[in-house]
Order: sequence, then C-alpha cells, then structure tokens
Amino acid sequence: MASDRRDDSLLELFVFETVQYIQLLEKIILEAGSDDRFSDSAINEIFRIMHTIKGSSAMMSYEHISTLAHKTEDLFFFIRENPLAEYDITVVSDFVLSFIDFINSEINSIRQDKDADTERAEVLGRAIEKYLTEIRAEGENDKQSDTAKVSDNLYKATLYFEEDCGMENIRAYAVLLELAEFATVTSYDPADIEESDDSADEIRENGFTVYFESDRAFDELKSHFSDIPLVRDVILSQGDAEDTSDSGVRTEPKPLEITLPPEEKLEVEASDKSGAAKTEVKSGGKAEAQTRGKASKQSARKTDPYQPMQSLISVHVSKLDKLMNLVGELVIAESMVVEKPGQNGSEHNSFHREAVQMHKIISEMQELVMSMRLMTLVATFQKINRIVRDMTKKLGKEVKLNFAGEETEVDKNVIEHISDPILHLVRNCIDHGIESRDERIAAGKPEIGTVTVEAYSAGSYVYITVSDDGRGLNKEKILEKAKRNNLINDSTESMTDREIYNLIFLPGFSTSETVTEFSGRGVGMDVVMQNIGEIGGNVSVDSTPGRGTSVTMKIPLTVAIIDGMNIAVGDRRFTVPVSAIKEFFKPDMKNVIKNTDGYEMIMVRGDCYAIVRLHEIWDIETGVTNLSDGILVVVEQDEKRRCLFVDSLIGQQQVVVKSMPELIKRSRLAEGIVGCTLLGDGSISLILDMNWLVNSDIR
Amino acid sequence: MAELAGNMLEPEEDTLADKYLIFNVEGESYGIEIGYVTEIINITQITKVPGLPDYLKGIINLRGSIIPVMDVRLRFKLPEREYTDRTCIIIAQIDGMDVGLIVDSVSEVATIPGGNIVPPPEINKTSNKYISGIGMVEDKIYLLLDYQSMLIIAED
Amino acid sequence: MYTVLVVDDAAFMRLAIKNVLEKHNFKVIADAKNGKEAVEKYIEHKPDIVTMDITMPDMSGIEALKKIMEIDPKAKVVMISAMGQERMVKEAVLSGAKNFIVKPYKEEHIVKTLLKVASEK
Repeated sequence: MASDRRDDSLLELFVFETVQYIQLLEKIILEAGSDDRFSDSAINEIFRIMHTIKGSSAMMSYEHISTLAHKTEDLFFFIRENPLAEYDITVVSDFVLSFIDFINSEINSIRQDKDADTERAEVLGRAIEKYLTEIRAEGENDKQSDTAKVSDNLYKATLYFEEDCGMENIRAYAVLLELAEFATVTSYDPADIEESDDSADEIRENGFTVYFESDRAFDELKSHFSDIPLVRDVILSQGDAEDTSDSGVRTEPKPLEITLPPEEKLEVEASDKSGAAKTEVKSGGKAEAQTRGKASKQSARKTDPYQPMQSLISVHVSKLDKLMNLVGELVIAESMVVEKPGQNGSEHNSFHREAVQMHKIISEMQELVMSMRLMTLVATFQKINRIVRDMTKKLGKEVKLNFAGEETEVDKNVIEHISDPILHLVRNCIDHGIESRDERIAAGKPEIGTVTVEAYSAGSYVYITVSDDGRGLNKEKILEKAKRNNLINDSTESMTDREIYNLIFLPGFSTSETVTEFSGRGVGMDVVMQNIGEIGGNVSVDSTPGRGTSVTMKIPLTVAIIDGMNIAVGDRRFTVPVSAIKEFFKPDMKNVIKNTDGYEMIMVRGDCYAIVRLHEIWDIETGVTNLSDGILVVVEQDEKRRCLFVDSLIGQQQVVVKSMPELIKRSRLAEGIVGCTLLGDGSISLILDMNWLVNSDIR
Repeated sequence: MAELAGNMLEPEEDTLADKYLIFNVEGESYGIEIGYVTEIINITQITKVPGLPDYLKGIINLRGSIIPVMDVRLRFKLPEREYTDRTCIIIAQIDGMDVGLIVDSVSEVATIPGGNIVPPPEINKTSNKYISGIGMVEDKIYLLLDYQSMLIIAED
Repeated sequence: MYTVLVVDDAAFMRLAIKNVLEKHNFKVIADAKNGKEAVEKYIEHKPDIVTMDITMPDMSGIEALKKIMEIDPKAKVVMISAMGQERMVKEAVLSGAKNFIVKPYKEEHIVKTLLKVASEK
C-alpha cells in the first residue's frame, strides 16, 4: 500500500533519528563521567534530546517511550531551573543510561515487530519521578523565598515557534493581534516585526518576547499561548516588566510546573553568545545569576560541543553502494575504451592525452566515492567505553580504558565487521585477562587494570590491537584444551609460543571454565576470526604470562576496489589481488620436485614453494594440466608464499569487489573465495582468498 | 514470458494476497507466493562456485547484482535434466536474501484462497519437506512451496 | 472528524493536502481552484475549516477570504503561502485568517495547525 510505504519511511526516519539522539546522549553522559555536576550545555542538550524524543515518539504512537522521555525531561528541567539544587550525578547518569538502554531495546523490538515493554518504562519512570520528588523536597528546604514585590498584572511572555514554520515575524504579529483583545501590550521584542523580514531570523533564535498587562490568571494566559498553533515553547513570567536582575523577577512557583499539560514545553535556548545578562534574567533570581555567570562564561568559551554537526548530511547507504557500483563499472568501461599503449601501433597523441585526462578524473572520483564510505572508530570506541563502565560496575574490578587512534578512518563495511570483535575482545580482557584487585596487588601490579585499544594504519592495512596488562595466556592450559578437542596432533615441541597462543582461534576451542554473563564461553574467538576473515583481514595474539595479552587485527584498508589480476583455469575465471603477487613465470620442469608426501614444489632462486593446482582442488576441466603448459604465479600473504598454477593470465584490471551473495555467505560454504567481481564481458570472476591459498591443506 | 513478468511487477496491493506463481518441475505444479517474486528470467550463464552442494549451481550476474541460483530439481532430489529454452530462473527475495530458482518452466499466476489449502500428506518424499501445503483450484492441484526450508543449506 | 475545503489552483497541491489531511481526523468534502469557486463551495458545503492558497487566478486567496468572512464571520480559514508573501499574509491575518502555513510545509505543522484552529471555540 502506498501509505504503508509512507509510514515505513516515517518509521525508518524515526528509528534513525532516535538512534542518533541516543548516541549523542550517551556521549554526553560518558563525557560528564567523573564531574560532580553536569555543565549547563550538557543539561540543555539532554533536556532538548528528551524533549525531541518525547515529541517524535508520541507522533509515532509509542506512548510509553514518550511518557518516559517526559519524566526524564522533567527531571532535567528541575536541574536546569535550580542550579543550586543538589543532585547525585551518578544517580542521574544511571537514569539516563537506563533510558538509553531501554530505547535501544525498544528500537530492536520495533524493528522485529515485537511488543512494547511498557512495564520496564513504567518502572524506570517511577524511579525517576521518585528521585525528582526527593531532590525537589531538599531543594524546597534550601530555597529562600524570593522577596520580590510583584505586580501581579504584569507579564512577560517569550514564545518560540516550531522550527521551519516560516514567517515567524508575521506569526508574532498575529499573536499580538490576538493578545490585544484581552490585554494591554506594553512592548515587544523584536520591535520591527511588521517592517523587517529579518526579524523572523531573530525570533527563530531568541524567541518573540512581549510585555503586557492583563487581568487574566497565569494559567489561562499560559494555555492561551500554548494553544496557538505552531508555538513550540512558551516562557511566561509574572512580575515587574523591568529587565534587570536586581528587581528579582520571580519565576512561576514550582507547583505549577507539575500541572503542565503534556504539551507544555519550556525551553531556553542554550545561547552561548555574549548575552550572558540575557541568560541570567531568563532563569530569574539574583542568586541564580551568580552561579550562572560562572557557568555561562565556561559555556561561552566552547563552541557548544553538543551541537549536532551541521556540515554533514545523512545519506542512505544504499545510495552510496549504488554510486560505488557505478563508479566501478565506469572504471571497467574506461579500461575497455582506452587501449594500452604499445598494443595498437597507430596511436594518436591527442587521444592519449585525453585518455590520461579521463583516467585522472575517474581515479579522483573513485577515491572520493570510497572516502565517502569512510567512518572513524569514534562511535565504536564510545560503545566500548559504555561496556567497560557497565562491566566494571558489575564485576567490581576497576579497569582503565585507553584509546589511541580513534580518528583512524575505515570503510563503513569494515566497521560493521570489526565492531563486535573489538567489543568481544575488550570483554574478554576485562572478564578473563585482568585479575582481581587482590591478585594484582599480590603480584606487585597497579590496582587498576588497563585495557588499551589502539588503531593505526600502515601501508594498505589498518591495525587494531586490544591489549591488557592482566595475567596473560596460559600455554599449558591451551595445549591441554587443544589436545582434548583434537585440534592438534602431538608434535607440539616444535611449536613456538606464538603458535600455541594462536590456537585459541581455532573453531571448537575454549579456555574459560565458566560461562560469564559477558563473554559467554569464549566462543567468540573463532567468530572474531571469521568476521575479520570476511573482510580479508586476520587476527593474531601474543602474550606474556603474568604481564598481559595483546590481540592484533590486521585489516586491508579499502575493501571495495582492488587491483586484480584475472586468471583463467579451464572456462572459469578467478582474480588474485595484485598486491599479493610476487612474480609469475612459465615453469622450467627441471625445477619442479615432489616431496615425500606427494606435494609438488618448485625451486625459485633457492626458495622452495608448494604448488597449488586449482583445477585439481576444485575439479575444473581444463586442457592445461602440464605445468609447462601453464603459468605459475607466486603469491604471498603474511610472509607465506605459494605458487598458484593457472592456465593463463587474462590481464590486470581494477576490480570492484562484490561480496558473495548472502545465502552463500550464511551457509559458510565456498571456502577459498572472498568475493566476486564482474569482468568486462559480463562474466563473473571469483576472487581468491589469499589466506586460504597460502594456509590450506592442498592435497 | 515478458507479459507474465510484466504482470508480476505491477500488482495492486489488495490483489497480492492469495496469488501464487505456478511453475513446473517434473510434471508437478508448484506455487510460490507472488509477493516474494521479483522477476523471472530465461536460463542464463551460471558461474560455478566451488564447495557448494549440488543443487546450488552457482551464481549469476543480473544487471550487476550477484544472485545465487538453486536447481529446484536437484533440491527435490529428482534426476537432473538439461536446461532448455523453456527453463526459467525465478528470482525471489526471501528473508532479505536474493535467490534464483531454476525450474523446468513457469506457467501462470493462480489465485488460491486460504480455504482451498490443506496441509501436505506425511509421505516420505524428499520434495514434501519443502511443501507447506496443497492448494486446490477447480480440478488443479498445486504444491505450495515452503521456501524457508528450501533455503536452509545444511553442511552435508 | 472535521470537514475541510481545500483551495489551491494546482491540482497537485490539492491532492497533496488531501492525502495528508485524510490520514488524520479530516475529511476533504470539497475543493476549489480559484477564489470564486472557493466562495461558492464554502456557501454550498459549509466546511468546518478552509485551507486557502494565496495566489490564484480569478479572485485571489485574500479576496476570497474577505468574502467568506463577510458571509460567515465565524469562518475558520488557514492560509497557505509561499516564502516572500509576508505582506499578503499579514493582510490575511488582519482580514480574519485564523493562521497560516508556509510552503514547503511539514506534515506535522499543517495537521497541528488545522487541528488547533478547528477545535477552537
């Protein structure tokens, strides 16, 4: 149904935006970390986010989310309006984090069409309300009653209109017209709403403020303003019309806050401008002005770090993928159009120049498109922060988290594959690696364990290491377990320490004795290996008993377009990454030997390499079975080399890597293939997995 | 074929329910819910992929997209037949995955209301594993596909 | 359920507004493509609320608004205007328009505004 599609995209947008807000919220909370109070800008931002989520979830009919957001909004409203009130930042942070968790879980439920967890929302909501009542009560005791002499009939109202409603100045004008029917307007600001259209901008930023006198009750006036269509916020204060802080402008008494109908929205723009005086007055009260003064100076300094980045736009990933595909096809088309120099004798200078120019443009385009898919690891690292906080609380271990290189950029596809592995590794470190406080003290180590996550790029790879200063890996236990699970044979004497440690990545392995809430039974290790393998990378581990463990993931930088050498075996086509090719040649049979196990090997300048016959491994029909009829390609991966025997080399080209279809990936078949690509004639070439090529048992 | 495919691609929302694409394998008529079918194409060049079970013939290039294809005959453990120009590939999207089903031929789009469907008999035929029900319309009998089970690739 | 008269010279706009409104508690009982028709249809159907485009041939939205207010001082008309028509919107407000929406409008805005205006008094 067309309207279903509309609703779907509305829902998608809701989910997307809510997730963004939640992430921002988490960032703010984590950054406030060890402070004893939230900064003004943090409070405002949290308030704003709660407010927005309240509104959008209500529009989508997720009442339980909206109500919970409202309650949290109330809490922050109180905190904002009462800078002197005492609150425990840890308690409040926990509430917000619980809110975040709740939202995340509800988003999942929404995606899977499951039921809403209204109970959880209610429980959390009650807890927040209870806390608010507590701190409110304390605040009441401390609060001095303002002795302002008020003139009850005088009011000041500041209105903010909905974003993008347009012509705010004319709206203000309309408001004045209506107001004039039952009140006497003294003045208003901005004053030039009739003449100048720029006043609309001012109103958008600072709101429309009108000073008037009226017999009507406060509540009535409040309702009147709130009921005006497209009015987003109303700040109504009663009292002296004078704008100075001396006169003790009184804000509306607290009890009124609670009775606000759900639509009431009160918000003060976090103005980081030099209008510090303005900020003071809006909150009212001299005492408040003093603390505000300090805070606003601090916030005026920063350029509001919580401003959602405005120089970015969000683009649906499918569009980027399509663009990438097109660029990839353009690259192929280019190589078909441009003849290689030397192959065609009659080459015109101008054509050559133009071809070079075209190539430059296309290369640049390609680079640009690929860079669009690049993201930093910041979000991933933030997730880790959160997990560490939760884990250390629960386990009673104190762990310090170090990050380095979070600005390293990797392809979005890569991020999706490494996020979980990194998280899993960190969990492992905390759960199994770092010892308890007592153990550490006994071993002469600092009480607080350290986990370090570091990312850096070198050459065409990105390295991510997760290390800890914990107890290290236990060689004996590993060997024992591996033997027990029949993962190795008995010739373990010749294994280096590193080789032993790396056994933990074998499927079917597990060293932890107990299943913990956080890391399962260590079943993640081979999954880590697999995830990384899927993007063409690998994992290795090293450890020093008693000192710590370090896991390193090596990931190729760009997974999307590579220089490939297309080869032919029978009527099949395969592609080998050029970066893995050391050399190729027609073999001289006298250099070929067979060892005792029947492996074919060839001597190349003193080195001996095993020969991999694809046509035999994969049962491919081909007329080329004699080594001397085909070509040997020496490939290298992780310092291991082998010789690939192929019928012929078709040619080198820039190849767009397409991953294998989901069905095949899910069934984990097709070993030896990491992806495929389309050749110029529309046929498909399978991209060989270099890891598999140099490591697998080829007999 | 083109009109058939054309019909497939412009259904009105309300009329999608109860409509099945009917295809033939070894003389039997099978039905797959139209909502899952994205298009039907003639048999085309298939690139073999090593390590797949026999019924997963490989992958094809469909306007730039790589789609795995499954030979339904072999899936049902029927003898393999050579592909003719009547052989079709039904491109379906199930659980977010694209799959091409190679069938002997495609015949029509039939409307089989829920009331006309009975559960499959307990006979131990391989193909019955993949049947979710039997639909009867006038005097025709259609075996309705349970594609979820067809897509479970066991590592035999 | 409120009844609405949609006035705009562009068929597309009339349809767009209709689609939006009918997803919420509104029923579009008539539409008009110029000011003259707007007045006629208002008399004929007496809708709860009217959305009125400002610039139209054969009697502009402002004129139609004035005529309708003459006939029915309690009429609820919401103007639909484009950016840059500030003077005209102001005149409309002075002439009795209850509120206005600026194009391009957010679905949320037009719905909320019409709901509030329709439910007043």
